[in-house]
Amino acid sequence: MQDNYWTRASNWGRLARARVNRRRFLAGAATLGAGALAYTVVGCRESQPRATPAAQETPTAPMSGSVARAVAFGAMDFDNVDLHRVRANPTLWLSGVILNKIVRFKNPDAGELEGDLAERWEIVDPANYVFHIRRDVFWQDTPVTRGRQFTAEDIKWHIERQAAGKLLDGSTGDFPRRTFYQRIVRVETPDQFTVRLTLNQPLGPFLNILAEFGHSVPNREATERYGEGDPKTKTEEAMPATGPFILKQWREGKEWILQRNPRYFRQGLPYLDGLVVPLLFHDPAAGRAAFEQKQLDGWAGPDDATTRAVIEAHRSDVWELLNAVSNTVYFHLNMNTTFRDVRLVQAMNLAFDRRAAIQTFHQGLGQVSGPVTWLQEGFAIPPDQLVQMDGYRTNRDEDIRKARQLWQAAGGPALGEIRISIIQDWLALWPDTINWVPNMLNQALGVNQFVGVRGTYEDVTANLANGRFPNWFAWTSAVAGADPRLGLWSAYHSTSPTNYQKVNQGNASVPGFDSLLDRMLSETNPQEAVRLARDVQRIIIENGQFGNIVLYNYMYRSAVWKYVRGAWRTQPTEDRPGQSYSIPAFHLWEITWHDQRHPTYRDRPPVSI
Amino acid sequence: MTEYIIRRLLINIVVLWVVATGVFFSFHALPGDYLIRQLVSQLEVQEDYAQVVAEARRRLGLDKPIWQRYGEFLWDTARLDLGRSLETGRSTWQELAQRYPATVELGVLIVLVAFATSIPVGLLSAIRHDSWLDNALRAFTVLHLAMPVFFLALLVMLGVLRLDLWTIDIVGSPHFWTDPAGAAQKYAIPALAGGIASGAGIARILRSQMLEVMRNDFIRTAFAKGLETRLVWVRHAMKNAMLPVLTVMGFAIIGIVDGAVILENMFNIDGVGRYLVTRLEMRDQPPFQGTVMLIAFVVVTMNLVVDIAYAWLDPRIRYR
Repeated sequence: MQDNYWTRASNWGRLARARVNRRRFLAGAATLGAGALAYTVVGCRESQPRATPAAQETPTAPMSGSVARAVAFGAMDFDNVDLHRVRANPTLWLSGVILNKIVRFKNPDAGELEGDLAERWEIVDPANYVFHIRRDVFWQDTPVTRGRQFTAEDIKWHIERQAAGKLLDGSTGDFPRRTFYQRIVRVETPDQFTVRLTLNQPLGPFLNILAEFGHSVPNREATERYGEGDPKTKTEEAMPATGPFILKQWREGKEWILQRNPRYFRQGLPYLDGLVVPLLFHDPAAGRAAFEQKQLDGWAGPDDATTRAVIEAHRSDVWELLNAVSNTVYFHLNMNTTFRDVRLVQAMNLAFDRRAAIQTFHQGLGQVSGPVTWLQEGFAIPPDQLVQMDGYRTNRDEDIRKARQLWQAAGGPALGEIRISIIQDWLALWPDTINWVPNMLNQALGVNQFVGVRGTYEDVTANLANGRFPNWFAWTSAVAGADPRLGLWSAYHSTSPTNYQKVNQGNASVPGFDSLLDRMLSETNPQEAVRLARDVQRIIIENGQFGNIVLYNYMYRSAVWKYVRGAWRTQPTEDRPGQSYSIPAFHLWEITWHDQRHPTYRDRPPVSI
Repeated sequence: MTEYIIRRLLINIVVLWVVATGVFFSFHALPGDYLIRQLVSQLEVQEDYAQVVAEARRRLGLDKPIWQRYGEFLWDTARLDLGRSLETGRSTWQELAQRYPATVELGVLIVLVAFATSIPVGLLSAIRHDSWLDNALRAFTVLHLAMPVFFLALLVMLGVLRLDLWTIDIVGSPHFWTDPAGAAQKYAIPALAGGIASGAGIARILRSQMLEVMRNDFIRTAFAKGLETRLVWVRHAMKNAMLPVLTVMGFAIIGIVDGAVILENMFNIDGVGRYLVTRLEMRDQPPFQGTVMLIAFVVVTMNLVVDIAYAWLDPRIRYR
C-alpha cells in the first residue's frame, strides 16, 4: 500500500509493536512522568516553521479536479429550504453555488454585472426591462424536476410569488424580499425565453439588487413540494440545481457535499470536482488542527494573533488573505427622543474616534466608513475626500473643537446622563466597549454625561417603529450589494416607512433632500448615479448622519494553503496579503481551483465525495 | 434497602424539579431569543419588522407568558416529552438519537483509558511507594488533577500536531461500527486526554487506599503464609482498596458527561455535548432544556446506582 498521509505508521504504532521488558517498561514509565512536564513545554512553545518544499509559484492555467473543503458558517444550519422565505446566510450561501440569478456580479466590489440566467437584457426605460433567457439552462435531473429546461415562466413565478407573499394555501408568508419584488407591477413572458418587467417607478439599482445574494431563482416544483410542505424538510431534493454544483448530500447539522454539475451551462466550469462544507466548527482549536493537517483549505482564527501565529508557522506554504466584515459598525442615536437638535448628532459624529476604535478592537485591521461604506467603493466618497469631512479628519483637534462648540450651543450638557446601549453580542467579543465608548465620548466633548449599558438587538428592533429605540452601538445588517442607493433612500426619504429618524418628518428639516433622493434612486446612468449618491452622502454627513452614524468596517485575516487559487479581489504574493471580495458573490466558487502540482498539495489528505 | 431506594427516588424527583426550574429561568435570563438571533442580520431591511417579529413569535409559541411556558415545560418533561427544536422542528429525542452514539463512543473510550491508566499507576505507585517511580507517578497524577480537561486536551492536541504523532480527524464523523479505523483516528486523542484527566483522581485514591490496606494484619498474615506477592497485592490488598475507589469512579463517569461538552466541541465530535452548546448559542430553548434534563437524570441515576453498588459490594454497609 502506498505510504501516504493517512496510512503511514505513526510513532504510536511503532511503540505498540516494540517488545516490552521490565527495564523498558520502567524506563517508559519514567519517560511518561517526565513527559507530563515536557508536553506542556511542547504544547506552549512557539511553532517552528516546517520544512518547506521548494516553492513553485509560477502562475499556471486553471486545473480541473480536486475537492475543496471549506467551513461555511460557524454554528449555523439552514433556517428554511424555501429560498424565498430564507433569512439566514447558510441557505443563501448554498443557493449561491447551486443556483443562478437573472444577472450576477462579474466584479462584486465594483458592481460590474454580467448575465447569468439572462444572456442579455435591454433597459427600455428606467422602469421597463427586457431579459433574454439562455436556452441552455436545465434543472438538475431529480424525480421532482425531471431535468426540464429552465424557462421564462420560472422567473415569472419567482417574482410573482415573492411580490404576493402568499403560500399555496392562501396564507401570508414571511417573505423578506417582498417589498423589493412588489416594485415589479407586471411580469410578461411573450415567449419561453423572454421576460418583460415593468416597475411601479424607475429604480436605478434594480439590476444590481437582482445580482445580490438572496435573489437566486429556485425551482418551482421543489419549492412547492418541500418548501411549502414543510420548510424544515432538509433533503438534497429540496434544492435542485441549475448552477455550477449540485447538492449531492445534505448531512444535517454536519456538512453539505456538493458535486460538479455535469449539466452546467458554462462549459468547462466549475474547475473543482466538488465542495465539502462542514457546517459546525465551534472550537477554534478544532479549526486550527483541521487546517494545519490540511483537512481544511483555509482558516481564520478566533483572533488575529492566533491566525498570524499559524501563518508564521507555515509562512512559505500559506497565502495570507484579508477579508472585510460586511456588517458595518454603527453608532445609532435617537433623534426622536434625546438628540432632537441636529447639532447634537453633528457633535456626536465629530466626537466619535473611529480610528481609535479600529486600533483598540481590531488591531488596526479596518478602515473608516462614510454613509456608504468602503465596501461599496464605487459609490462611497473617495477616502481622500472623506478625510476632509466632519468626523473623519486624521487630525482630531479640529473635529473635537467643533464637536464641543456644537454640544454646548445645542444645550448638550443640560441633557444630563445619556445612556449608550452596547449590544450584548458585541460585548461578548469586546467587553471593554461598555467603558471605552462612554469614556471616549466624555473625553472628546469634555463632559461626564455618557454611560455605557448592556443592550440587546431586541431592545432596538422592537422599538424602531415606535421611535423609542435606545442609543446603541454595534454592528448592523450586512452589506449585500454594491449599490447602496435603495438603502439610502429607505433610511432617509420622508415617505419611507424605515425612516426611523423622521428626517423631514419633524426632525432635521433639509429642503430638497427628498427630491435629491428620488433623483438618485431613479438614475440609470452609472456615473450620474454615483455623483448623486455622493451628494446625498455629503448632506448626510453635514447633518451628523441624522443620528445613524456610520463608523467603520473592519477586516479579519485568514490563512489559505498555497495550492488554492481563489477568485480573490487581489491575489496574495509572498510580500503582501491578498484581499477577498467584500460583496458576497458565492458563484465565484466556480472559478476557484486547486493547483494539484503545487508542493503543498502533495500531503493533502484526499477528499472523496 | 427498598425504603432507602424509594426515599432516594423521591429526593431525585425534587432534584430534577430544581434543575428544571433553574435551567428554565436561567435560559430566560439570557439576552435575546431564537427569533432575534435569526432576524438580526435583517435589522434594517424589513419595513414591517415589528409585525414580522410578532407573527413569528406567536407561531413559535414564544409570545406566551413565562409562567405558562414554565408550566408547559414541567408537564411535558414529566411526560418524557423533551420538546421540539425551534430550528429543525424535530423532537429532541430524535435529535439526541442521532447524536448519542458519538457521545457513548467517546465516553466508553474515556472510561477505558481512565481505568487502564489509573489502576496500573495507582498500584505501581503504592507498591513502589517513596521510590523515584512513585514520585514520578505522583507528580504525573497531581499535574493532571490540577489541569482542567480542556487545557489538557489542548496541550495534547498541540503536542500531537507539533510532533506530527497522529492525524486527528477533525472533519469526519465515523463510528466504530461503520469505520473502526476512522473512528479510532477520530476518538484517540480526545479519549486519551479525557481518560488521563479522569484517571488521575482514581489513581490517587487507589494509591492511598492500597497503602492503608497494606498496613493491615491480614496482609501481613498473607505474606507470612508464603503467598505469592502478586496474589497478595491483587487478590487481597487491591480488592479491599477498591471500595472507596468505586465511589470515585462513579463520579468520574459523571464527570465524563461534563467533559463531553468540552471535548466534543474541541474535537468537532457531533455528540450530545456539542448539540447542547449549539442549542444554547442558537437560543433553541426546548432541546437545550430537554438535553439538560436528560443529563441531570443520568447523573442522579448514576449517583443512586453507585450507592446501591456500594452496599452490594460491602455487606457491612446497610442503608436505613
